[in-house]
Amino acid sequence: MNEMTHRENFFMWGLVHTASFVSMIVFFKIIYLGTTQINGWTQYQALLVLGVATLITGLGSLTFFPFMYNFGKDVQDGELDMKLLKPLSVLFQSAFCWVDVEDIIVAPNALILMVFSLWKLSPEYISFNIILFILMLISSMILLFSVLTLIQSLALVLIRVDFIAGFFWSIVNMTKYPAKAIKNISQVGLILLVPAAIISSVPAEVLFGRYDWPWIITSLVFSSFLFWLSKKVFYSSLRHYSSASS
Amino acid sequence: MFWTAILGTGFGSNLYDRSSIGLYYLFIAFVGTFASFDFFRISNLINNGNLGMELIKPYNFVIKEFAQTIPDKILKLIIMLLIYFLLLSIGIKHNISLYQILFSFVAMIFAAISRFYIGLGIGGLAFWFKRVHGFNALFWNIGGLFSGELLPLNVMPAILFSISAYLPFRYLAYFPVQIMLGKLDIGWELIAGLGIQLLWALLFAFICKVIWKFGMREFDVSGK
Repeated sequence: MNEMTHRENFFMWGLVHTASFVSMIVFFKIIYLGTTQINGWTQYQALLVLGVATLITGLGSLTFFPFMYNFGKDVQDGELDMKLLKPLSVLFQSAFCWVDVEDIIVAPNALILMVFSLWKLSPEYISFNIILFILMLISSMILLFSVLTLIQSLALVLIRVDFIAGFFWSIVNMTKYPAKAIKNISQVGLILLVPAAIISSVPAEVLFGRYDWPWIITSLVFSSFLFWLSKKVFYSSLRHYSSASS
Repeated sequence: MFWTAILGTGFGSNLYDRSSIGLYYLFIAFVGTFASFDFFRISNLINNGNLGMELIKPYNFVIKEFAQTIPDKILKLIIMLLIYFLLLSIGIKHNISLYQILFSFVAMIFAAISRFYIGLGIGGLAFWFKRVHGFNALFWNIGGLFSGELLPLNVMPAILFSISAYLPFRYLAYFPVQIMLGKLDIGWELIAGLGIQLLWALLFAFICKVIWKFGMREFDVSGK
């Protein structure tokens, strides 16, 4: 909300996000000028992935992405002590501490692109697709939240985890591309691609009516498992925390 | 990684293969890292009033700010060279002449000077605006498409490629990378490119000077 007091900067960020989003659309438009499909992915399917990834980024910014910025500082200066005293989950308090309101334009931009791409793709059973998509969207958000929780668990042990923030943003950026279209790459590349595919490609596929059930089930199981694991790791790392103010 | 799939469709495959597109993005990252300048420091100095202390010291503030970036750039250059030689040692092929190495270094320095003045100018907007991050992000977001950071300019449609020739962004990343890739031989195109780079650097220096001249009228510091 602090951003609202600097109105020109708030509107400027609206322009920034829109310019960034448009440049990604131009990127895909240019690529698809030279080809009709990339390993089975057409232009509007790829744009739908971009829309879904941007929607997830926008929703993340409005909910738990700020967890990335403040938690390490809370650990360093002892602010976490105050949170530990309160009768509410410390993970919840730290993750949903404030809203990155300057990113508010991201989700509407994404929705416009998604509706346009869907209109071009005109899938059958759209109501069923939307219901399944919402389920997959929640699963993707949980997966990202879990990755972030695992990273921030390290802050309780290492204190400074700024250097790992780049890793989180790499995953977020990779989700903008149809990761399932990438084939014949190294094992290391494949390991990096699977989360990106689960986060955006699988929900987008569901939305345009391509039900890849092994991937859908893997996504749901993987995100549930990672959520359970990240909570375990976070609370066990919390035992390493010694109050900065004592 | 997405480019491996794109090249598989035949798009851009007359210009790049998997290895050269990998090198392209690596060099884009190299130039971006080497030439980057932290505008944030400048806007902070203005916002917290510490610029006043800087201005009364017996040295040129602009030269000091640029000189401060040099050790960091040398360190980055060493790390880049280590990564480059590591890639060569694992079999990545890259043919480049000694002259091309020399000219790519000159182009990187010109890009660094331009980016320094862009950063100083954007930072200087803090004379009027409390937060200037948005201006910086907007500038580089527009630039991303025309600098070759998003995709190589020579795979873009002719109209966009032509537009990029009239914008500075091309000379901040794509042009030095083309020299590094050995795609520009010593000749008119290379010399003209370096000349245009220098002209952009001078223009940014001039714009920056104007911003600071008018900005200083807005700046006041109080204290004992």
